[in-house]
Formats: sequence, structure tokens, C-alpha cells
Amino acid sequence: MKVLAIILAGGTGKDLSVLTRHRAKTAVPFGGRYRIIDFCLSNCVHSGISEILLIAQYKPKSLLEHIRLGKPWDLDRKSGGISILQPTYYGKIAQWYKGTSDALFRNREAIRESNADLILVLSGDQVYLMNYKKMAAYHRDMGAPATIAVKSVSPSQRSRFGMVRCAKNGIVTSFLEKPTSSEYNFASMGIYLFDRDFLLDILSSDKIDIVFDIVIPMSKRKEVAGFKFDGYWEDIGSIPSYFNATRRLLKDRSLVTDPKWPIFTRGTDLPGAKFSEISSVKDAIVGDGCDIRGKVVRSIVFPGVYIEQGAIVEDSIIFPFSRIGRDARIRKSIIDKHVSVGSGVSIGVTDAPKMGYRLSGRIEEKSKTAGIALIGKKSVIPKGIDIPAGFVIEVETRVKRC
Amino acid sequence: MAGGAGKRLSLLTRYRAKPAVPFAGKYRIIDFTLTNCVRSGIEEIYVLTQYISRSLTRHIGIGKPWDLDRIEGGVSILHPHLGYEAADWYKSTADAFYQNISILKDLNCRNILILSGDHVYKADYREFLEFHERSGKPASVGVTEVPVSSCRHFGIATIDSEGTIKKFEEKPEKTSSNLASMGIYIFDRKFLISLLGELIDSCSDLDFGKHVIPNLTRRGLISAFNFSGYWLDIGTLRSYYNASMSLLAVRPKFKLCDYEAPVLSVPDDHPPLVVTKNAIIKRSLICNGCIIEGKVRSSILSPGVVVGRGAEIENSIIFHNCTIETGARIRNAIIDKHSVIGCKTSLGYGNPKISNKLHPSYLDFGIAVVGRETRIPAGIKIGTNCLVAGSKISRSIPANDIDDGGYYIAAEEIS
Repeated sequence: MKVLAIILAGGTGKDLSVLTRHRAKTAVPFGGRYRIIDFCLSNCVHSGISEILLIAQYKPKSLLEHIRLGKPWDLDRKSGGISILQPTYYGKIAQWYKGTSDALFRNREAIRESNADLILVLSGDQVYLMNYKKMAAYHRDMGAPATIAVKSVSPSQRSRFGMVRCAKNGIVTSFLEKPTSSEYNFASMGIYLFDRDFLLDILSSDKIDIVFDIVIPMSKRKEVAGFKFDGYWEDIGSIPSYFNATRRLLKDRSLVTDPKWPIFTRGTDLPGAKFSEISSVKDAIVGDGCDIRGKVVRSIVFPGVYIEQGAIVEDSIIFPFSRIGRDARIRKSIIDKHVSVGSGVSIGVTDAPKMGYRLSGRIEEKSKTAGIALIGKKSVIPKGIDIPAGFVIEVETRVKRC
Repeated sequence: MAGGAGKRLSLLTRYRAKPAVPFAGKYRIIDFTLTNCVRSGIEEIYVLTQYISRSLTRHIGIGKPWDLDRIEGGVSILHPHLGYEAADWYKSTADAFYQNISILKDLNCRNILILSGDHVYKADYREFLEFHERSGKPASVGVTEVPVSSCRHFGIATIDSEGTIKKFEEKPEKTSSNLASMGIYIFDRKFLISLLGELIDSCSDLDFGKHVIPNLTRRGLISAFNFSGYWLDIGTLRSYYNASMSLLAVRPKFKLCDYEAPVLSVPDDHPPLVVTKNAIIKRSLICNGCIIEGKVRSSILSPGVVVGRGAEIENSIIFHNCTIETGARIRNAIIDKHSVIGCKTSLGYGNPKISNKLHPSYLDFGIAVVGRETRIPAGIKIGTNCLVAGSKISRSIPANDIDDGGYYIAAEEIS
């Protein structure tokens, strides 16, 4: 059965704050070397799916530069391969994609031309390893026109997801967004498999959202089967979940070290990481081209980062090409790309701004960032400044004392 | 030119051509030359190779990492072939050219740049080309200053005030100049074709350094272009080792990490480097895919090296995907790809004054060399200036200690 994968990478991902201020959620760096979309791209390729449509809309530049022709994922093909579909001006109508189902409807020609039997719709912003062939085989056995992947989650997680109830025969009997009832144990993973012709029939200009306008009505008609997945799966929907998913890698690397399921990405051309005589690195993941002269503990450091002498980085994530100045102290922070942290700066160490100056930034609600300080891409923190825990500095900001 | 046997690199060139020898962790020696070509705007490159060229051929492929995958030009690998009059194995550097003379004749360019593929340096060849065109001579050779004590390893040129070479001596014991030939030549293409035709009959092993350059020197037809950039000669085990270690300085003379113009190579798919909580890393260069649980000091680790708990590595160079098991202790060693050093084994500690018995001239400065895919058993002691290699079929070596200067190279393949 031929499968066409459609990755929905159009959304704005506001929940990732400054990390998605200038990039799509799927392009957010992850794990010291990757971008979030690498997981579902690698899953596709290892599952034998080599024809992929990528639907993009919001700030796609980082994503497009990352993917280009798809060569790192073996998707630079004569037949199939990866195509990027951004909204186009069609006849008299120029509109953005209104929602997930609308995006599929607007690209129905591409779906029709693909000759695929099954259409696999993925959200591209989740971190997990899955062989989609197994889901396709289950779909074929069940005979329903649609199958959704579901995963059992703990009760405390229920309010984050669309949740389903399945009958013993595997058919979904009920699908509710963020329900409170304890009868719902399985979260919808945002992975949908449709018979192609059925999908083409059901798509229409008045349907906007896949969940509300397609899957929920179908589940009421008992047309949806539930494929149970029990591997690790993280929906990177918030700063805390991003932070935890990253930190988990320090304890359990299996997500990126399975020799049978390598995660492909566009690598850098940098040499290995360099550690100086006075550096001290423990419990960390370090990317190529780093120059480490300070202390790094329980942290993820992406390629090209320069950590100067005397600097201490703890429980943090530092994106590519940022620079941490001499004697700076970074704790429980995410520092985006190309940030310059001056000497003696502290980030995330104190609880409240020092007396005597205000900072050009803000404290984000704890529920949104769980006390993790965020420094946006290309920002500059001049020397000696103290940025308290949970503070958010916007992108391209030169922090000032005021 | 990537054809030479590179005997002085001992086990490192046992199964691969010299330009395919790994260097600086994730590169191969030829990456530096290929990158230089691309940054110099040179897009048509021929690689002449013959000696165990599989690693090299596979590494270069169609040239995509260096943007040499082109409709016109790009990189082509020229192996010896049969079918034309003079066809045979390449007997020498110049012979390799002579046998490919039909390609030389078909090219459209005015000049041919000949590179040796076994030096590590950064250069824009356009400067050399401009010098050549201004010199008015049909041939130029790139030279660079070397320490006087090293002169006997190189071809040494003595030049006049205009840069014309007056005297050229191959590996002289005593000399008045310290300008060494880098094995980089520019020839006027048509001149080269007729020159090769002239000389090939008089010399069965026509060599650029030994015959062609001296001939042109006598006729006053060759100039020397002085390269002032930093370059690393890696022709011997000692120079290879020293060049590698020089990369670990706080401010190394050779700038390996250049964000604007990185060295281009085949992409590597390893996950990022993992440093566990027991690791101690000092003054080292470590690539992706490594997992460090022990101590690493003053060493270079290629991708995929696993250093077990309690293992200690010092002053060493470890190639791809080696495993250093728990408690192993390694000092002053070069360990080739996919090898395993068993638990608590000690390698490389000893008296550096005792030269290696098999290759006393190559291996006399206090390092141990382990060949590819060798399994060294647990709990043994291998001294310094040792050569150790398992065979292709049975990777393991016997569980016996090896004294300083000793060797174990699997019986059927001693070279």
C-alpha cells in the first residue's frame, strides 16, 4: 500500500514563546543537533514513505533552509521526495490556510495526483519514533476509512489533549477535546491515516479543522479505528514540555542513538567540539564546533557555542552559535541562537531583578514557562546584567538597564 | 595526486590511500585540498589514484559535499586503465599524468594545477595562479619555509630575487635554503603535454620531484611561489602525530574551526557527543557520536568513539567507532577505526627510546599504533613504539603483553 505523508507545519506555536517568534514550531532546534521536524521525517523514511508534502505557512524560512531538497533524509528523489506547499494565489482567491482541514482541501490536487492508497497526516512537531507501516497494517485489518494513533496518558495529562475512548474491537467510540471525565484514557496523537479516496470525498471548502470538522464527526459514525502506540511520545506544546523532553535525553539517549532508526538532520560543517584545559563538562550533550572553556553541567549545548573561561552553565539549553561570556552564570535557561551573553552576566540565578534597574524584558507566567528563563534569538546581554529566573527577553533585543 | 603508498604512515595506510587517512577527528586528509579548490573557484578536479583507493573513492563519491557534483567539470577519479597505448599501472607521479595525457589534451584551460592531496593547509590557489601568470615561466611550484632541521625530508629550492628556481635538491643532507616544495605545481597545459612527451622515454619512473623539477630548474623554466600560510606536513607518523597534537593548543596555528569557511567533508549522521557525569575531559577535540564515561586528556576522538568508565586516554588520536573498555589506560597512541581496547589493558606506556623492531625509522618517538578493526584483549600490557594489528578475518590479537618496540601484526599480512 502506497502511503503519502502530509506534514502540517503551518501553525504558529505561540506556546513556545520566543523560540517560535521567528520560526515555525517544527523548526525549533532540539537535542543538541536536530530540529523537531527531523523526527517525523526520519520516521517516514524508515517506514518506507518517500513521498511527503510539507504544508507550511508561518515563518517558514528556518524550516525551508533546513529541509531544502531533503537530501539528509534521503528525500531528494526523482519520483516522490519532499515538496513544500505554502498557500498560493489561486484564480481570484488569495487566502492563508484557515486550518488543518482547509490546508488539505486547498492541496487536494496534489493528493489526487500522488497515486497513494493511504494518506498519513502528521503534525511534525512531536518527538517520537514510530514505524508507520505498523499503523498502516492495522488500518488495513480494521477496514475503517480512517485510523488515528492514540497513546495512553496519565490522568493529569488529559486536559492537554484530544482524548478518545475505544471499543474492544478498536473502533473509536468517542472523541473529546480536553475532557475532564476519567473514562478517557487515550490521547489522540495528532497522527491520522485515511483511505485516499475517502479523504478526497470528505474534504470540502467549509471544513476548517481536521479534528472538529472531520475526525470527531467520523468517530460519531464509528468510522475511525484507534491504533494504540506505547512508545515514548512528547508533544512539544509548551516551554516546560520542551525543556523536559530535552532534559530527558541526558538520562535516556535511546531516542537518538538507535542504530536501526537513526534520526537524520542537516548537519553542520564544523569540526568536533574543543574542550580546554580548564573546562569542566559533566552530564551534557555537546554539539560540533563548540569551544568550551568553562563549566557545563546537566545541559545541552548545540553546535558552534563558545563558553568562555569561568562561565558556569547549569540545567540549561544553549542553541547554536551563542556565546557565553567570561564568568557568566546560566541556570535553568533556554538561550536561542546567536545570542551574546556578556561577561559576569547571570541568567536564571536570582529570583527577582536587582534593585536599581529595570530590564527591557518581562517575567512570563510561571505556568507558561515554569520558571525557565528564555533569551530570544540574536539578543545581546551586556556585561554584568542580572536576569532573574523565569524572565523572557524577546528576540533581537539589546538588554538595557533602565 | 592521490596515488602514493604512504609507507611512512605505517598501519594507517595499510588499507587505504594516504589522502583517505582520517585527520582532525572527522576529516580525511584530502578534504583540505578539495575544500581549498572549491573556495578558490576551481570546479574541475581530477583525482589520480591507484593504491587501495576504495576508501578514498567512496569518500569522494560524486563530490557533493564540496559542491563538485556538476553538469560540467566537477570531480572525477582517474584510476589506471587499460586500452590505450601506454596503459599500465601508474609507475610514478609523472607517469600517472602521461597515461592520462588524452584528458590533458582535451581540456580547455590554460593552466593545470597539480596538488599532492597529502598536506593540510588553507589556501586560495588564485594567488598562486596570479603569481604564475606574472612570472612568465611555464611552470611554478609552491614552496614554504620549513625548519632547517627538516630540510632533509623535502625537495628544497634555492631561488633568485625574481623567484626563479636556481637550484633544486631532493632531500638534501645539507642545504643553503629552507624553502621546501609543497608538491603543488602549476604548469602551462600545452607545455606540460609536450614536456611529458619529451621526458617519459628517458626515465622509467619519471617523478615530478626527482626528474621534472630538476630538469626545468636547469633550463631556468620554473619559479617558486612562496606560501606563507600555516601548513601541516603529515608524511610520516611523527609529523602526522605532531600536526594532530598541534590542533589542541589554546590558539592553534592552523585554524580548524572556521564558521565562515569550514573544511568541507562527507556529512556524518552520528548523534551529538555525550559527556556523562563521570567524564573528565581536558584539552581535547571530540566529535559527534562519542560517549565519554572516562578521562580524556590532550586527545582527538573521531566520531563514534566510546570511552568506558574508568578508562583513561592521554595524548592520543582515536579514529572512528573505536571502543575503549572500562579501566583501559592509553597514552601516546594512534588507534585506527573500529578497534576495541579491552578492559584494564594498558597501551603506550613505556620507554620511548626503544625503537620499533619492525619499522625502527618510522616509529621511534614514543607512540603505539593500533591498526584498523583490531581487538586487543583485556588485561594485557602493550608498551610504546609498538605496532599492533589484527587480520581482516580474525580481529583479535593474542592475549600476550607486547614490550616496548615490539609488534604483533597478523601473520599473513606483514608488509
